[in-house]
Amino acid sequence: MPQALIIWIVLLWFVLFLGLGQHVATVLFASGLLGLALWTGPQVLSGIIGTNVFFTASTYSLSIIPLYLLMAQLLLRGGVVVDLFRVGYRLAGHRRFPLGLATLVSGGLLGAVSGSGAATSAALATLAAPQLQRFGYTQRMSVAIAAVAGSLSAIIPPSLIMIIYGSLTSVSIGHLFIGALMPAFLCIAVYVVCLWLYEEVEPGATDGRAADADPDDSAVTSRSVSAFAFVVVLMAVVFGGIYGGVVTAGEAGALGAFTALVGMVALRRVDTRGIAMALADSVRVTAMLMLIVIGSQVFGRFLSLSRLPHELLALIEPLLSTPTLVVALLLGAFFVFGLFLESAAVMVLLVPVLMPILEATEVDLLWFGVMASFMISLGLLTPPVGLAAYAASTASGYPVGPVFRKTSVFALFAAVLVSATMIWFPAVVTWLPSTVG
Amino acid sequence: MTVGWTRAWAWLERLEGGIASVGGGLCLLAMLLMTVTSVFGRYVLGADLVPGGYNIIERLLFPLLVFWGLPLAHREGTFPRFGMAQDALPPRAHAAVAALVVAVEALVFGLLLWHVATFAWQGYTSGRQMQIGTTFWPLYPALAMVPLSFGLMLLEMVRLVVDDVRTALKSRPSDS
Repeated sequence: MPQALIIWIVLLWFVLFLGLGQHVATVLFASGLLGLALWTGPQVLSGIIGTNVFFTASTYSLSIIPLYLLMAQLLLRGGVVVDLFRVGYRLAGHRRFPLGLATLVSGGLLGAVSGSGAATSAALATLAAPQLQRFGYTQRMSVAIAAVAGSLSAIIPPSLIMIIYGSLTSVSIGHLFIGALMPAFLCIAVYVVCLWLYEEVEPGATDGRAADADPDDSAVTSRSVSAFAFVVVLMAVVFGGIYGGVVTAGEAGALGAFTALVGMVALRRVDTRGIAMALADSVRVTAMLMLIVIGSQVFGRFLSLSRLPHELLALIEPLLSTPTLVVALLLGAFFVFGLFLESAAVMVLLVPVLMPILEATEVDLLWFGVMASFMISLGLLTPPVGLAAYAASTASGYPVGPVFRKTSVFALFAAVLVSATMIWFPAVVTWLPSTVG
Repeated sequence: MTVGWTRAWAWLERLEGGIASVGGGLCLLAMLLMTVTSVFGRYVLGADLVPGGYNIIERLLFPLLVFWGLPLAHREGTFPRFGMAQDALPPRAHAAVAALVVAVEALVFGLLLWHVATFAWQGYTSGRQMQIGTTFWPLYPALAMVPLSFGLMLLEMVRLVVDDVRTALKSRPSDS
């Protein structure tokens, strides 16, 4: 069979079954197996599948995923999201804009210890959106703020997609985490400005007045402040350890999870059942992510055999004299794929295909990893899939369509301003990792 | 027959939940404690308290966690998919497409199961080992979990296909 025909058959299969709603991991497996069988004959499969499946799941750099997930799960089950928002709520002094800002910063702080954009958005939509409405924001704006705040989890380290990117490209995961810090702060700043410029308020809403039924329970406040202080300590343990060069990103994950476990038990936030559920959920999500990674390895075997990435490189060779344009196109691909697919799937799908082009353009892989993670994070806010917007809408029982119209504005501003800053001033990403001890 | 099937699936569900929650959870807890102990030993005692810890996590605990977690993740519908087109279909067409998609998935995992089972058996018969620190442990106990995991997923896929086919056949055009 002609090789070009095989490539078309595999691509057609991939698009067809992805569109029909088959699991992303299965589509990757099936396309890879079909391509390999047609290209070399089915006998080659016996030498590839077993090895690929087991040894991909036996990769140390990926074993840190469940540790960060466990840390996030313990904090979520310990009610820390609620407390972070409560602290912001108190500091906001019953004013609308500071409350919106507090919601964004709460999402950012939670992102630093979470990694699940959808879960954070849903939690903030349940907790923060009603408060935002009480102070005058429309329901659409309130849900959109919760979604935007939650989406920060994808760009604020420790982001799971950065762990996967680091594992696929051999870029230091610790450096990726540290490199993402400044862009993440910049992203929060852009969202705050958007909130100021594009707020949507109910007609006649007054600002600066304490709402009814707003008890000032000192016990609750004390509990919230202690949880806030605990999160700050946790961030110091994780990022201080990595930045100081004391521990690797994996060890920092374990120390973070251990600190979260001890802290949540000491603060009486979780019981044995809560710990067991946090462990089980972390295992379940890790297994899901790893099946996508394993599937992408099988698909990647076909890609490397078919030399498709190199064909792609040859196709864009005339553009290599303008590497900025090539990088912009590649980042555009991450954004477009992020509109339709789950973040981890985008990373495992695109990185192996685009790697030869990245190497040819001699782009800094650390910089590109942070940039690509940021582009994917924008997909959490934009239609048609936008998981953060969906999660926030579902949690608050509000239709997702109107929310998308708001979150898309935030995403557009961040896409233009944060991307431009990272492209024109790459040191925003690369300087801090270069100072790591 | 129906009661028997229901009991069997309920037992299977408990088994999958058990190996993921208890087995996978203990693996994760062990990974956590080993890493923390290792860091503590390195900086406080100046000693390697967990010799071969890196290998144990990489070759044993993490793969076990993944393969024990997969059947539960699959059963609970955790795997991401682009479902907008399928979900927009009327019930009968939705069930028919779902049956097709899961049937193909079952074929794919049937093929994978065959190959990973062969790989695990060859690992057992050839005495394949993994290096743990300065010693060697047999690899087959870890390898054996791959076909177990895929086998459990395959059983669930077969159940889903049967359910979807029944739904597609039972629904009348007026339902859609």
